[in-house]
Amino acid sequence: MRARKVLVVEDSKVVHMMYDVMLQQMSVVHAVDGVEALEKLKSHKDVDVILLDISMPRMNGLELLSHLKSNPETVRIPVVIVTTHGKDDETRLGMNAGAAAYVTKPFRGEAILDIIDRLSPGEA
Amino acid sequence: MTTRATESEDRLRRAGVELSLITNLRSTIDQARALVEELEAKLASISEANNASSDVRLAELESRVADAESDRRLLSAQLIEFEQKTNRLLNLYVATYQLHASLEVSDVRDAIAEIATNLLGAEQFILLLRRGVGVACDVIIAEGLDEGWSQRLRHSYYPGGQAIIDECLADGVRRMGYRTAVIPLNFRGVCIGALVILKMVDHKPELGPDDRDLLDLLAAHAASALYAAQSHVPSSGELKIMDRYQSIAPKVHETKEAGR
Repeated sequence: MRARKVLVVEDSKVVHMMYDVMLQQMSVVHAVDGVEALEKLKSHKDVDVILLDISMPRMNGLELLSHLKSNPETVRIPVVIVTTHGKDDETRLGMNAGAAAYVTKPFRGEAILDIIDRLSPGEA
Repeated sequence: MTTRATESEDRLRRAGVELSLITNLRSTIDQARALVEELEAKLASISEANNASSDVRLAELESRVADAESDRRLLSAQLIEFEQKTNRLLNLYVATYQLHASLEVSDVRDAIAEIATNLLGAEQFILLLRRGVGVACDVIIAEGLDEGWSQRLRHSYYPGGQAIIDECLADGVRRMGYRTAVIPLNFRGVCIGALVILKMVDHKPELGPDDRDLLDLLAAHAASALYAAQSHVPSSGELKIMDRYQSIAPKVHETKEAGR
């Protein structure tokens, strides 16, 4: 069975490194904003889950989510919003725009792993 | 560089092994839960038979159910403890690595801010560097400040006046409340500034023991990381870590001598 592939869209180096360590048994693709994420998706069409920050330069998480959900090639990829804000407007907008789940920062590793397992069952 | 890269790879590998152990523990707990359910089902069917021979079997099964349940509880407790330990180590490893990953002052500043935001859950915080032996400080980072604090820190200058901050700057000892903290930045044994967490994100109830480790790490490493960065790029010397240290240190040493 192939390793699951996770696209991390996040502008914090600290958080990227957290994912690198936590998701070692998966294939992790990194992007620092929405624009780079769309570029990466062109060459990584087999992404299983997207972990998405909201506040980012150039193209923020909500804008990217809108692109993803309006594109037939990406509409089925589950998106998890990972945000420092709890149930605020941005998170609510994200969930209404089609995000599958949200996690608040600071997060614990098992919370992210549980959600990925739920959204993309496969080899851990 | 190669040695550092190899060490980093080793650490990453070790963290991976711990995460894989967590996965195995989870699987074992699931199996134990399934066994308990199976035995309970058998128990129920035997109870219905209600005869003398089934009483012995019933007692045996009850004992096995109790054992399995006890094992499951033990494993669950171990899993929680292991997950907490892994998370704590992960946070410390990532924070240490990022503080020293770059020799650009802006990168080190970003790393401090990102650690405060993403690992500690700070919503409002400031990083102060002392101007001299007093409590007056330059504000190096200010994040998410409300109107009151913006007024207090006009022109990126902290004049003193907040007792908890001033005390920390004076004695170099960490102050930590449920949702606020003042962490001294120590450089060569002298407090040259402080990271002040003014407000946590709403969904984080309080600063816990795991956060204490991270705060201590920042106290020990943030100032030296900033100093290393500004030493590497002289044009970024506006932080003047060594100047600040030299203006504060003699007074601190004098006080220590007098206290002996």
